[in-house]
Amino acid sequence: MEQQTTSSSLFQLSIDANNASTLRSAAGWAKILAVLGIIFGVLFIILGILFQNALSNVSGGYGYDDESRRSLGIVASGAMGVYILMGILTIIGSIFALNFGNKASTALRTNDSNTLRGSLAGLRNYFAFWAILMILGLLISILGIAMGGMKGM
Amino acid sequence: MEIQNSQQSSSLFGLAIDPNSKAHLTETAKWTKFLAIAGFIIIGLMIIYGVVISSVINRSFSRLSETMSEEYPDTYPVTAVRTMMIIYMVVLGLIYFFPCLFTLRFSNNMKLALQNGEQEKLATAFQNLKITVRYLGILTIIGLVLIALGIITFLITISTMRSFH
Repeated sequence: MEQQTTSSSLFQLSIDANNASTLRSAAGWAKILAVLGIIFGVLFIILGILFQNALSNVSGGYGYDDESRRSLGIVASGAMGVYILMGILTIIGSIFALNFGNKASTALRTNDSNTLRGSLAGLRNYFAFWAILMILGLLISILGIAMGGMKGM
Repeated sequence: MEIQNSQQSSSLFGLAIDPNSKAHLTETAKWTKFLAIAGFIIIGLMIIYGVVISSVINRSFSRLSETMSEEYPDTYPVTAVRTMMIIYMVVLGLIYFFPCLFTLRFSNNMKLALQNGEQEKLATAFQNLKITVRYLGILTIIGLVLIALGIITFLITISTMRSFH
């Protein structure tokens, strides 16, 4: 029984020096990607607020009746909502990447299997998050096209 | 004794991929495969969309130039808009193609490495993961620079508009 344990640990996949170097580099880039992603997300939110303010300023000018002002207000709020949502989603995705990057670096430095497990879970969460968002995006696009087609008929 | 064995193996090989890590990597490979295949489909749709939109633009401008042929005898702008549209879609498609390719390679190699216990495939998979993350990082840097330029232009435009009022 003891021999079986030894042989299974001998032949299982391992993070050798080559893999460790590659993974360390990937973790470093993941951290950069995450920090930039968070900045990107914050900029998206700022851009949304700026856009809303700009449209409000335009609608507040001369030559617009109440109906046009109301329509522009709705468009401005909608655009701001979309930008803020995109910003928040980018920040959440970046947090998963940061989690992977930090934990992978720590695991490789300390040779800790638990932290490596955590980092791989972070990597899975990062890709799963974007994949689920992609599914939602595709569904919304298909619904939009279908509704547009039905209106056209 | 078992503890001694596990300590020995960890000192011999460094970190090992245990069953939990293996499960995480298997799931990651599945998600990345989905992302890559969906990405390739989206690239195809983008190129089709570009061609369709450019032909719509072409048709609309042709009608316009027929009705206003005396004022606009030259069809150069129509061709330019159409070409720009196609180039824009192809460039976007090319930019998106490479991360999809690297994630697909990561997924395929990781799947084989976990199924057959091949150390070389694991190394190739991690190599492709590194390339994907580096590519996305560089793209994000370029995107951030463009957004910063956009914000500066936007603020300058707003301040100019206010000074006119």
